[in-house]
Amino acid sequence: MKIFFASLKIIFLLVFTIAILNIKKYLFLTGLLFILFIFLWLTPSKKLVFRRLKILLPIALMIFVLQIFFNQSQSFIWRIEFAYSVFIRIAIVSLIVLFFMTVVSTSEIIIAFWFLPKNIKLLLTMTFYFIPIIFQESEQIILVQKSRGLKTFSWNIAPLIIPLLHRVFLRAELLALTIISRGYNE
Amino acid sequence: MKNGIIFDNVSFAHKNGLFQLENINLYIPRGIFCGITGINGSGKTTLTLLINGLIPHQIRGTLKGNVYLDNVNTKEKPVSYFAKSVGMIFQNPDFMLFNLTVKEEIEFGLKNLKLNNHNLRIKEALKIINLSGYENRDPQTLSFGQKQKICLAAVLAQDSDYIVLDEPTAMLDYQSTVDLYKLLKSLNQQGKTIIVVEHDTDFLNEYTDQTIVLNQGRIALKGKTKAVLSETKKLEQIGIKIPRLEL
Repeated sequence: MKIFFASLKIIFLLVFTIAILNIKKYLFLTGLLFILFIFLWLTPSKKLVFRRLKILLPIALMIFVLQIFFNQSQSFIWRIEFAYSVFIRIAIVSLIVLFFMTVVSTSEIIIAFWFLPKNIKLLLTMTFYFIPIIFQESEQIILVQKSRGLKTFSWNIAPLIIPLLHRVFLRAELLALTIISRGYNE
Repeated sequence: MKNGIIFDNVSFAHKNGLFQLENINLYIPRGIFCGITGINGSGKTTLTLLINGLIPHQIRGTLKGNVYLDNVNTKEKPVSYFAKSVGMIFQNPDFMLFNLTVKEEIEFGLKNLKLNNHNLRIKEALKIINLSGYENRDPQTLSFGQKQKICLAAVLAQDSDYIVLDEPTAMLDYQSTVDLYKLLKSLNQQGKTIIVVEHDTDFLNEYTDQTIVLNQGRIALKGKTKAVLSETKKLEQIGIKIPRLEL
């Protein structure tokens, strides 16, 4: 039953994403984005929506700029329409993935991929393990470097990247030793 | 040959020269509570990695001599062969726990070793470490002491004869350390062989039967804990904390 529901959620996400990419009616897509936005805004993941919008806005700007200035073969209206259609699809898919991640646990995602070989499933688990760890480690390193007087990482990311890589590799190495010492032999 | 762990004239140099051991001759009998101490870089961790064959199978370098675990040469069998009998717990549990629930974490070793009765084993192991009901918790949300206990539960569930712990208390507070040592002592009384790397000689003095002191990759002292830790002058020379002995 657990596998069935987990698989159902993944299938829904896939079907929904494919449908969004194929719908051509902008008005419908705009309405859908609006409804999705309102719905997510009413859920406890309001902060996440705000963060996601902060990421989406520069992407939107980039799409519009690229279309307006670098696609001279089409009319201006067509370029604006096209940029809008691309952006609105990205925004809907992004918000639906955000919603999906708030209602589906990572273990459910792994369960849904029950048909994959053992090695690939382990790889998937490891990936889910490392994503939050990279963020946690980055936050720690940022605090450390700021306490050492670094004001910004904008021009020099080495103080962040080098210790981060070192720590992640160290973790990966020790994790490998742990897995092997716990009988993993494939 | 005797049962237990035998280091027969073992020397090891890592390929990057980071750590090494020289002429280690040692016998750790079954059922003992053994402590290993020494200053940083003295070869304590390297010694533990030799027990289940992680050296030379996973960590490359120049290995001379032989290590026998219950009369089996660790060079001749893969690490997975020794995984059932040797449970390894590293210093930082954050580097060991990667599954999404406590249950999956403990089950990982059981599946690899093809052991049965998973649910019963998990329940029993969690009961021993006083974390019953934690099966569905995310290991990353637990406290450091609890994470360390989950690593121990994973080893207990697979019913390993030898439990090797590399500085398990390095990041624990005093009370958690005492709790862990009491637990290890009770496991030892049930017949498990416990090998623990520890800087705090007070804990070694209180709980272990034998102690090995390493210095620059060589055995500086070995024998009964009370006798070893009473060599205060030598310990001071090496740079090891003198325990508050009540000899």
